[in-house]
Amino acid sequence: MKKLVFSTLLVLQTVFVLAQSGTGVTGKVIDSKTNKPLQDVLTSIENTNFTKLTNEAGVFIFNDLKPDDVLIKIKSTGYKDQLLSVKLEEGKILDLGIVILEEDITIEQQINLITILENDLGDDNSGSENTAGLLQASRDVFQQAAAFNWGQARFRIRGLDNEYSNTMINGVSMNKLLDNRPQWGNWGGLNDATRNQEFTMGSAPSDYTFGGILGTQEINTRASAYRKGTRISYAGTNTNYNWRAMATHASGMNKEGWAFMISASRRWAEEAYFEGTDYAANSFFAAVEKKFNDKHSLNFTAIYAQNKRGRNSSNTDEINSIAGTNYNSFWGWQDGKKRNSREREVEEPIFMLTHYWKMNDKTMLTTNVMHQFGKIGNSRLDFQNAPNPDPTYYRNLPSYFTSLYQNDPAFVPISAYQPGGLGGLPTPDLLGALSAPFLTDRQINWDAMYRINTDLVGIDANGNEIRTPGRSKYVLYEDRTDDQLYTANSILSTKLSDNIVLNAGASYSYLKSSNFQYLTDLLGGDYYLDIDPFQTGSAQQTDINNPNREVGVGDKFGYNYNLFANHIDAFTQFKFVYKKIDFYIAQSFSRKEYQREGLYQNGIYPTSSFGKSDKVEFDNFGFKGGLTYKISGQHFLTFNGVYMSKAPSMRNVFFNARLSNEPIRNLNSETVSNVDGSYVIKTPKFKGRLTGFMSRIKDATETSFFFAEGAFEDLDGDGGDAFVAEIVTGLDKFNVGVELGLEYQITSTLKATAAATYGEYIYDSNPNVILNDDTRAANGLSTLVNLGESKLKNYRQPGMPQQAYALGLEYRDPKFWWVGANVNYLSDTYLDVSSVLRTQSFVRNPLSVTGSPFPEITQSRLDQLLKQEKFDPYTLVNLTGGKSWRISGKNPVTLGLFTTLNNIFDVRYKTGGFEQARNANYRELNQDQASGTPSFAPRYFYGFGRTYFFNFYINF
Amino acid sequence: MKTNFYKSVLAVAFIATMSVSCVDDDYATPTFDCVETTLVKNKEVSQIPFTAIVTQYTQDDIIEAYVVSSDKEGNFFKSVSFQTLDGSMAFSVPMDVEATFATFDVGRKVFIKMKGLYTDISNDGKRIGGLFVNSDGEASVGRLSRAQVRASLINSCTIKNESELAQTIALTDVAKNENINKLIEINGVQFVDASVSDNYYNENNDLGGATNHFITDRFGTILIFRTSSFAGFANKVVPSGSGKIKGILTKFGDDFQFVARYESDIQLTQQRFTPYPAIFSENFESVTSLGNGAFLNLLNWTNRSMNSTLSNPERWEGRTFDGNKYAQMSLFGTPDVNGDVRLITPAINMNNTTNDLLKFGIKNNFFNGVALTVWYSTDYNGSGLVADINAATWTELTTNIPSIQDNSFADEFYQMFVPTSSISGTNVHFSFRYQGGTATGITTLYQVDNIQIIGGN
Repeated sequence: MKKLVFSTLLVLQTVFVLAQSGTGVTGKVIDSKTNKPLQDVLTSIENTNFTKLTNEAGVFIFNDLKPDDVLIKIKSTGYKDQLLSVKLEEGKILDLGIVILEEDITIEQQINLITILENDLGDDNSGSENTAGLLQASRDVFQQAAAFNWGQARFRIRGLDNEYSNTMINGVSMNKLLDNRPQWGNWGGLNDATRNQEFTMGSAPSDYTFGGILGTQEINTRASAYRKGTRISYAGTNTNYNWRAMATHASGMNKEGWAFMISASRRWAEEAYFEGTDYAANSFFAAVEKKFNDKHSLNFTAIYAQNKRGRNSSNTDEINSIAGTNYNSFWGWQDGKKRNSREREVEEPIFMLTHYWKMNDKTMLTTNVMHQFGKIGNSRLDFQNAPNPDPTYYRNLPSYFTSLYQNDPAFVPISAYQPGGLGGLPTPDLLGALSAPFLTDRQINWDAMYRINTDLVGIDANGNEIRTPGRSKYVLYEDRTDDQLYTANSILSTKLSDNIVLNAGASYSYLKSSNFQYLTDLLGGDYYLDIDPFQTGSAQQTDINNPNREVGVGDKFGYNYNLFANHIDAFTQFKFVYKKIDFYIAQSFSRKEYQREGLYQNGIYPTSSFGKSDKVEFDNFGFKGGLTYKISGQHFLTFNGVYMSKAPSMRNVFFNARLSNEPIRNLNSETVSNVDGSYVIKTPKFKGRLTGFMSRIKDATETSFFFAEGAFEDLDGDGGDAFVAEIVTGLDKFNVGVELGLEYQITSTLKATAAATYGEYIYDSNPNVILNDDTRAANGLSTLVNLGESKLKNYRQPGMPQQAYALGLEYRDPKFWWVGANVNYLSDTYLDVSSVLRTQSFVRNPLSVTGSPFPEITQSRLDQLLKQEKFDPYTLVNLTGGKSWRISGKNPVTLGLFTTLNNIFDVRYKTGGFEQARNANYRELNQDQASGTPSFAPRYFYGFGRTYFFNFYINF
Repeated sequence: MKTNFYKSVLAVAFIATMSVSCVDDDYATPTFDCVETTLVKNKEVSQIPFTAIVTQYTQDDIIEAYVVSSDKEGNFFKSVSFQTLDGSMAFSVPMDVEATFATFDVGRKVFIKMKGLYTDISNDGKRIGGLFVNSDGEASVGRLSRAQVRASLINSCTIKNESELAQTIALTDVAKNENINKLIEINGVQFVDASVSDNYYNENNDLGGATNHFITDRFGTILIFRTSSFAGFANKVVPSGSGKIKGILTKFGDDFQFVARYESDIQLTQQRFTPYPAIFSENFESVTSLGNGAFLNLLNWTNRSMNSTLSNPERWEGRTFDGNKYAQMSLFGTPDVNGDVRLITPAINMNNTTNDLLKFGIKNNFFNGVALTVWYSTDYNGSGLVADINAATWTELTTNIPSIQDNSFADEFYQMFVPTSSISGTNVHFSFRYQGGTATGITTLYQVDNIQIIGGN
């Protein structure tokens, strides 16, 4: 019997024909473990629009089909899909008997995957860059490898950023208007509650949105859609956190038409994988649905996910070689505990009311109103007239002492200015290097900051220093983004004829985003002076209207502004389904309107910082289409193409939003296009997909901040050093590649998988670079300095492997245990190159009146200095396994264990990194590099070494 | 529905239980227990030799001193001033440490293990530190490295309130080498008119990264008040009021410079005062005959060589430089080998003043010994005759006329202040007495200007 159950066609082979009217097929779906009927299982006739849900008895019935050879797909969350080939006969309802659905082990993997997603690299309040979270619901072999095997290595599918995807809850887009990226943390830890997902890859059609070129992810939180039951799980891992407890209960729909679902989890770690990274997250979820009648249902969803975690630093090779790969410069000892100075806290609850209106058998209208509010805070240390508290500040490192140069021409031999020279005389201070502060003081010194913020007045009887609070020179604060988002949308799905489906949607969003510095700890002092000590005169004032403000805990300071956005979005999509060919066309329109409102009148920009800015508007259109050609029931060809324009994100429009209302002038929308073509084969034993893709992004805009040395003409004797905003416009990206996914069922218990991708993701233009230097305003100069074009064309896009290969084997024992192993090879990850270093200003001697280049430049050395670093390839081996037990009875209980062991050979590899743009000219970079111990070497992020994850769960 | 309810309660209870195992992110404010050192001083600061030439200290000796300067507000940089508890000795320790105040709080007693350290006197200030050799190969005391600071400067747990360390000194007495590096409180001062309403630091008035303003008292005493561009109060406005200022005396070249540690050191909370009037004043601008041999012949003044046998002996000359006129005297290269030349003021009525003082400006050059002294008499008849001068009673004033040996004229006249409140009478004469010549070997040249009696009351 068991063998039969686990044969590839999980159907009891008792097919007989019912004497019922119509042409069609029926069957009863049950759970493989409990043998209980499964309700609300989605059954569909492949390549048609015919879908049905099973009833309370687990039975589905189609009675309006045409005689044909068809594939029936039976699908339910948490179970493996079943694909059944049947031959329909005129006037007969074919009875398939009992269809057994088997638990899907990849569901457990989804829960593992989440741990990868929460480690964003970005240093700001942005959304998540990692695309692995998008793919978690996918059943495609390649996409599963991309999510589960390569996600830890920051693989990005097709080399695309998350801002080209669209993540939705009930059809409401969750991509932030600030940067167009989703914030996974908003529903982190609620894996049970967010497991009802649909994913479309690339520009393939979604029923809910036009989407981007990366794909769409739709999370459904309709209470009645959750499988009835209770689940409690407890997990342990050594990744971003150590422990996770989760409990979920879904009621199913009762006779009065009520259904509810609640879920809660807690994740925590005193210290997770990297040093000093603490973690504390609490998540709650509730959905309640009331079905009024067959036509109307209302569903209310509340999601509250609060997450606070310590971040880890990017490090140079020098730092890692001294302090280890897991070294994190952000923490220090206080009160016997590791205190992290860079905590990230996300707390943005979501409330959503969804109305389902089934107008008739063919038309469905879903309407949402959603409100999201809360805060994202990233903590940092601020300091005035005091030493930089960062233990890895460049002057603290040995390399600072060994890369010193005498640059006074009076002492530099003439040869240093001849081609190939250094333009200076090396003056390494080896004694200094041996006593470099970092060698002994590697962590943040909280005690010293408390000491500095207080005044010594005496010693008490116990020998303790009596210290009184003074003016704080160090404070801990948060960069806060407090959003108020309101969204309303409607999505229509209607079957215009047997062959044509119309999807249409419209949405409106209003965002008010409050951004400010928020003081959280005076570190022993009694106030902090809200000025910018790097400026002079009135430019020091962060708010001229409240000069020399003394601020305390809970006060806003530094900068304070609102961003407003209005976003209207609409799309229509027609899908045509025929016997040999399916095709679709879709179009979209969106309007985005941005505005900044300064609440402080900043002393640097007294005329452009206060009050409301002009509105900046972007109108965008998109067109896409595609087709599937069915060579046979088992072989398909699909093609997709899209051309769209995309508004720059609000972050990039207001490039200096903290201080100024000034947007980038004459900013263009990006144009984004993508084509892909696939060959797909689906047989009961073998599944495969081969895809070629090509995408082009034109006129992208990117902004960033850094401290540049030597970037400007040396007007005031400081060598042209400045803290600057970098604005890159007109950046084109070109991504081309192939994807291959294969799955072969060797025996009924043994499955082999293979996945591979080869990509070339490059910059395809020489964009324009503008630097914004606040300090120039004080000298009456324009703050914007146009550096002209940056020779970025043909450099590789950074931060992800452009080649990835995986081989996997999975054994699934009939006695409810299974093991899997996979081997992955990842290569062609590149360093993020600095655009400033590739402009003409890089070679220009800042001392030269005529702007002539450094005399010591040679082409070969220039090429060498600007060559993009390619990281070493690496191989990761992962193991997974699990077992479950069923305790039968009136209320059967399932116990389970799921484990993974990732990167079992503990390979340490760089996942990303960036060039420090501090050495912004040839001489400084050449000297720094030539020293052999560069002071401003690239900083890197590392992936996890060996990690484990285990999860115990009980379902009842 | 009932089981549903129980199950959800169970689930929530499970999470609640887990939540107890919470991550502790409350951090108690650090306490700083002071661990007392076992070190004991075995030498006084006064026993440490300081000379112009940098010298390494080789004995295993320990001294103690108290921190008086602070870089808390950025007005000191990589240097800490120390003084003894009795205020008699003071010195600085340059060190390659930012935020020295985090280690060396004001008022803390610090033991210094002298062995291996270097001492010198630079700009008339005593220093203890490391060795620095410049590109010309000249050695001096330089900054101690962080490691050397840790090894040689040991904090004690003795903290003195700075009121026990600060010495109150009148502005007229501040500008003395012995006061360098000491914590000094000066009462009765205000900023000069030209400084008021400017910022403490003004980038248009930058001398080596700082701005020199001037503080003054009722007698018109002037002292440089120096504020770095890095000072926390650099961009604050110089107040117009009068009151007291605390700070550390430093010196650069010939200039004494007073440096406040914090903005709170400047307590100018009282009304601005008007200076005392001058009851006598001579600036030599009326002199018409100038140059070598143009001996001063001012109305009611006496300009007399007391012992020359020559008919027209060398006496005080009228001179001019850069538009300024002054009196000048030297017996270099004259036949009077042991001369005694007096420049005596007209009679001054000093009966109506108290707290008055004699103020004059002085420069010297070609120094080879102090030749100038200042005297007064209440019974000189003003005749200008040697016999009458000799017949009168003359009393020498304590003037501390400086011994500036750098063989060049200073840019500015040194302001000399001599208390004269003990002198009264309607017939007071002051005598600038030059004694020297090749026989004594003292032929130093002096220039005197702006002789005033400022009447306090």
